[in-house]
Amino acid sequence: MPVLVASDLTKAFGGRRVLDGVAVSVAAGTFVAVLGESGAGKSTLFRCLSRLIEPESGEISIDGALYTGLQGARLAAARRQVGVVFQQFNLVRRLSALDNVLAGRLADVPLWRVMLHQFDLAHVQQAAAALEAVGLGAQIEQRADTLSGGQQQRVAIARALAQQSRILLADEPVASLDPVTAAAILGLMKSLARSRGMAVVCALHQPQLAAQFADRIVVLKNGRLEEVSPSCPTPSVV
Amino acid sequence: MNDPRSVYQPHRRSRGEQAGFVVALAAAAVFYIVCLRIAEVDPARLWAGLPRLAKWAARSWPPDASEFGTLLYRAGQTIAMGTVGTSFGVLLAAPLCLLAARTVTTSAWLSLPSRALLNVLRGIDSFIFALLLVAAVGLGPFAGVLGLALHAAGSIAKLWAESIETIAPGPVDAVTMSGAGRLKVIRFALLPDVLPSLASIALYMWEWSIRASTVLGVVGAGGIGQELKNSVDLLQFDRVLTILAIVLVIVTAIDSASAWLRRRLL
Repeated sequence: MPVLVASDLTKAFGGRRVLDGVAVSVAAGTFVAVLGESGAGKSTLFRCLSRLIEPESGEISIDGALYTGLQGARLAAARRQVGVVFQQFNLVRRLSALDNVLAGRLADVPLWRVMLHQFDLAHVQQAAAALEAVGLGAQIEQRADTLSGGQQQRVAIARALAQQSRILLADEPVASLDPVTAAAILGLMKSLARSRGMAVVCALHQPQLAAQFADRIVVLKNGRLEEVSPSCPTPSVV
Repeated sequence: MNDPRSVYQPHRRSRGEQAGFVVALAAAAVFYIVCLRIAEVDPARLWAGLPRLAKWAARSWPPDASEFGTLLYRAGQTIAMGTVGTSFGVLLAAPLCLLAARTVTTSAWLSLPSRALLNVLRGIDSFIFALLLVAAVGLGPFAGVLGLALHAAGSIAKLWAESIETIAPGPVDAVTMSGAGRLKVIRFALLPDVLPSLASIALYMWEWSIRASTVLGVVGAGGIGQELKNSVDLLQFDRVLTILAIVLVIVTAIDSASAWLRRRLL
């Protein structure tokens, strides 16, 4: 059974229909790459899938439960299943790598503990384990804004790991990284999909990276997703 | 070889635009001249008054330090008024800035009235607040504290709200996706990045409040300003000089301490 199912998603900005009936279904342990030109609507799709913005119509469900339409505490609870990695990392700059990863556990921590920045040892050890899993065991206490781009992206992935989400949405996570680091990050995401059964959806610009790492490739064009062969993503459509 | 030329035509002001500019300049000049007249600016009067000023300056030396202990106590009262007034202002500003920041409070029903309240608090000077509050709570530094607190709350909250609005929304989005509630997101994603700037603004207002509290005594709100007014009224210029020296030392010390702390924070 697929973990993430979206159907008939639409979203328009100023009369321009960016998403026009998008449908996608992602199974556990699968890495799906989303290709598309700049401005095709990949970021809009990811923000709709995570519900950082609201689609105008359509449905999203996670593990068979409806995600669209939820509000307040029920939306917050459902969001725990959706880890997000952004192109610009979006770490809290003045916090350490460990604190940034602990952000993934905030939903489980009482408010007063968050206010006083007092976390259980178990949560701290979980966050440290997530950092070690992405190869940052030596940078646990380093401030986020002193890490390299690749390291910051690893912290963002560790944050999603600590969150123990079922889904990982990555919006162009390697767009600002060098080719070697980009390959390492995508390799890490693929191995997490396999080892933890996460459903990974990742926007990419480079068809060759998609072909190398993805189990499935979809192309966002004219507001719709089209499936293409993973062995031969058509460069003309991206 | 031919010179490559673009067909690009730079924008030139039309005659209408040029005329509009001249009219705007003339209107600004007229406005300024009217201001000079209404403010009764008269260099001749200044010139005539200079000998009197010089006489008072000569009478101020040597400074009168016979009541130095009293003056120091009054100076302490001034620092206390500025410090307590700012701290009350900070407490009032904390919820107000969150309500006024458009990136935190998306409901216009909450943010617009909050912004209006900030404008009222900011628009009325602490001097005027103190003048009104002396009538309510009586003479003394407490009226000054309240006056400073109300004005500082408006100024701090406005600057804090603007500071919060300039913070990149990315970390807030990322932490929101962890399923955390609004308060946790503010504490964890917003506060760490914005805190140095908030502290710097509060320190700047502390510095400002102490400068402002030096004159609040004029309306009966205590502090060194009260002594200054009494001494000027009694033409005790040697005592005035002592008071001015104390004010200068206080303001310079607070400015330096605040600037040092702000440098450390940012």
